[in-house]
Amino acid sequence: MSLKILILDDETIVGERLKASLEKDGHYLEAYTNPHEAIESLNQEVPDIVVTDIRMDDIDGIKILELVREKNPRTKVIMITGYATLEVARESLTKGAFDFIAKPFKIKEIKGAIEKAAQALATEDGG
Amino acid sequence: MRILVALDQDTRSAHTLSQVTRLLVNTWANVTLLGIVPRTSGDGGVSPDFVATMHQYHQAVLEGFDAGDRPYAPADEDYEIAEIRPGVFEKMGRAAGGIKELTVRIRVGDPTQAILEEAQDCGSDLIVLHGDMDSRQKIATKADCSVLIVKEQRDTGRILCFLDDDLLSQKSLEMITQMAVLFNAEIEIAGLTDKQPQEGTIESKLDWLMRYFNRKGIQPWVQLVALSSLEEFILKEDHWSLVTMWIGETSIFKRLFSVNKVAKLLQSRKSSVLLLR
Repeated sequence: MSLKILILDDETIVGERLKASLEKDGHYLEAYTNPHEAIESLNQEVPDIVVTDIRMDDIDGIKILELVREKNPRTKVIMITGYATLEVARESLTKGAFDFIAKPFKIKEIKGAIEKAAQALATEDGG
Repeated sequence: MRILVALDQDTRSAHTLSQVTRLLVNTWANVTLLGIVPRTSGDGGVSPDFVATMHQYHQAVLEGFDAGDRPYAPADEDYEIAEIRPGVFEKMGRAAGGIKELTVRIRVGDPTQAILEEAQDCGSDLIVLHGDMDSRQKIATKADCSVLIVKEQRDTGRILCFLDDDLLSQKSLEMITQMAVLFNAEIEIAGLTDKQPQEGTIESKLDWLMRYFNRKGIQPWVQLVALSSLEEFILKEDHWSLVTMWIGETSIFKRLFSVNKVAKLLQSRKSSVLLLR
């Protein structure tokens, strides 16, 4: 199943690592380091899966989560963070995040979460 | 994040687990609790007593969470221990649920080999063990990932990072940031200087690291420490929750660890030690 995935992290390396690996699996990826550019893209088209960092300079990932959930509740949002706390995890899940992953992580861990999200989408679509 | 916690029946394992549970509450990491049973002349099996201890450890982790916040499946009282490979046992329960993995395994054999093999198997980002575990030094030098050696619980609000000429990986910087959040701590960076020509390198690295942490909203304290006075520095100061050091291929500490110097020095201190890769 080929998915459209948006990745947002202000560290360039995160998007680069994920893009290279996930495109090999046949997914279409857009990677952003600037949340405003990511929002512009989300305003045009909401992807199947969004992977977003939580703490960024001027817009936090929770706002991105809320925007995505408002635009398309079907989209699965995976939150990643370098500043993990119970409060952040709780807020993410309460607001509808599909998964919460603390840094550092291996690509395998994100890919695992994306596969689970893909399965959930397929189930919801009756597949 | 995926964490491997190496445990035995020493009381310090329970303390280590309580420290790790704090990290799990924050990060909701996937975790493997690994019980280590040194091979004896017996049949290579695991005693019911050790299995019961591992079950208690499992429950202790879950009890660290409020029920509504727990990302792991509950611990099933009706569990079995299955030998999934020769010398490798896994606790199997029927309880389902949980968005994160909590695996309980027992390995029989050489502790160093058992921990390193499990770390490879589960792809851990961090190995945690207590400061009196005999294999700690071998694990520290041979592991592919970062290693946390837990000592006393000390919330002093300070983390010391020894910076040398080793590579600063992204994951190691992320690990320090998570620890700073966990301990609600300020970061002190001690740049180690060996000989005159290296100082410039360390200073530029310190500058880069400062800018990295500043971008993350962290304002670290910075100082230079001559390698010749490292011993004095470690013995004089002991007010950190955690001491971290990079221990990759070009690390001064890796060289020193092989001759046991820093290991012995830090063993006498109360701070936990995080070896970064």
